[in-house]
Amino acid sequence: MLIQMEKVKKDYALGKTTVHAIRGVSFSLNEGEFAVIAGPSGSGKTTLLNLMGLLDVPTSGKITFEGKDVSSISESEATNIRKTRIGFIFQTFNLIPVLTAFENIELPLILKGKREEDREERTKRILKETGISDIASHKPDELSGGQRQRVAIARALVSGPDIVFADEPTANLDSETGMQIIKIMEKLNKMEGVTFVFSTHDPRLFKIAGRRLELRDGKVVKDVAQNGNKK
Amino acid sequence: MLLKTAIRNSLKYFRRSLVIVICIAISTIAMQTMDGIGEGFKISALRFMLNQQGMIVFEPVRAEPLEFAVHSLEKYGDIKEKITEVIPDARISGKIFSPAIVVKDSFSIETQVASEDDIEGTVIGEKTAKMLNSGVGDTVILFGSNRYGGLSVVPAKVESTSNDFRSIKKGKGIMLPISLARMLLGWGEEEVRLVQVNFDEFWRADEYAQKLRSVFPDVKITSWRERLTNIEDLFKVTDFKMNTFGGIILILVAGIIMNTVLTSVLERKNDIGTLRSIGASRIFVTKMILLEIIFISIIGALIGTGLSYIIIKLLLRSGFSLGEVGGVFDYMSGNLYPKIVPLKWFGHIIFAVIWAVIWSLYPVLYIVRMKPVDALRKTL
Repeated sequence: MLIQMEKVKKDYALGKTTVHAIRGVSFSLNEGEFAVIAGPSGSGKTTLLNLMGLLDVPTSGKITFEGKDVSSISESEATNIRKTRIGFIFQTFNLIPVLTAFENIELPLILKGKREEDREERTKRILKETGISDIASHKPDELSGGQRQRVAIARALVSGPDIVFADEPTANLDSETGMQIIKIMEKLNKMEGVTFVFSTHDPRLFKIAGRRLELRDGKVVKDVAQNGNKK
Repeated sequence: MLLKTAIRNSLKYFRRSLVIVICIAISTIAMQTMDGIGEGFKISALRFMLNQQGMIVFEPVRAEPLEFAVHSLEKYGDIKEKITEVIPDARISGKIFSPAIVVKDSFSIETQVASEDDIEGTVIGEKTAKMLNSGVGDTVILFGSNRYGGLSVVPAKVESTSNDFRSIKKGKGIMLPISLARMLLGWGEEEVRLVQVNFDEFWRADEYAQKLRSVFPDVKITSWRERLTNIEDLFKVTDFKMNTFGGIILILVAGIIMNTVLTSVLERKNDIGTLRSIGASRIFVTKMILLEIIFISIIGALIGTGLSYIIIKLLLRSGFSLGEVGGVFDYMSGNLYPKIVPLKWFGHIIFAVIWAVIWSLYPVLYIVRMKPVDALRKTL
């Protein structure tokens, strides 16, 4: 079991009111899963991904990562886990604007302290796998939305993470490009065995995932295995 | 990678970088020109003092403008003779510095400088002498119109009184006794009247001064060594003034830098959040931003140094009048020239960079301490 959520709650203070973003969620994710978190806007998808990705800490409940309680670990420990075990793909791509596609992808390897030859070899390989070798020297503002998201996927995968979280990765793309991006993620999930968890409210994408968690008002209302997968 | 990112970021956010470059350039200019002027002042002053080391200066114990030079010493008779008895190779010069004054509405009088030797003798009418209660040997002030249409003020020694108008100098001026003239002109006690005595055996200055004190008991006599102490005090005051001026500029610049860096990092909050989310440590992000600040600051400091060099070169052409410095330099002539001390200038460059880093720390720490989720708030 890769990640386990036990009665996880997350509250935000919004002025004088408290927003209950996640209201006691419990589920687990296994290695190699290709899961989608579905739900309308404001249902808590992003908050849930943030909690699983150790970008945020729960108000209560327990999150375990490979059996280790990570609910209240220090920021530096969380950073280290994110660096070595987790990849992120963002809705708005979040590429570093001053770096080229190649340098953006190479960045996690630099953070991991990999040698230059190793970095170059891995970066070239992932560029090839994501089909963007030809745009390696381009900066983000020279790329289309689909190309940017491919770069973001490559960046998330280059350091060989155990799990990749993608927050509405297709939201800023047209439907065809969005589908292509999900297909790339699916392919990499199968090829590399990386666990993918992505959020979306696009019903067409629900079907591709092996598992669908439906979120409503901060609660998981449905957790179904599909396409012949088991939870 | 860090340096590459720093350089590219500074170019991408050009306007903000430019603000920091300007701030650092101004700081560097402030430090270097102030230092250049201060150093130049010290060196010029010390050089002056060394040239004048065989020197004794007479000052009035009770400050008596004009009267000191002309009257007070007169009671000693021929002071040159008395001084020469003590210092055989004495070269004596009396200097009278009159302050610049503005006379009511339309007239201005430029500074009158006259040495004792320059005070001309004059003949005044007997009636005038009676009216002024002045006689032969007294000094009077002649008021007249100068060729520029201004008012001239000239001290003159009454050589004789006469009713022979042919012997009286022609002029449109009026005459006043010195005490009245002083009162009218508002010459206060701060005007220093000096008689300067120079000699070759400068190492005997203290000994000569001691001897002269016994000859002229009510005159303040100072040797060059004693004046050197005054100069050191003046250096301290000058340093304080320069440092205060530089300090004010540095504080102003610090505020601008902090504000600019804060705006800059907040603008890049999302990038920083992204870096943190993919595993960049706080130290990594801090290094990245500070490296950018260092890069920009070095450019600013180098530009500032270039401009300081130009300013100093321009100042070197003209120099400052020694008299403008004030204090013990009131009676000195010649110019002060700024001085470039390369090692100190290098120190200023380093300091300017460190200064920028110090004042960037708060914004940088503010952003790196932010939780990644907060930094990404609008995007994730």
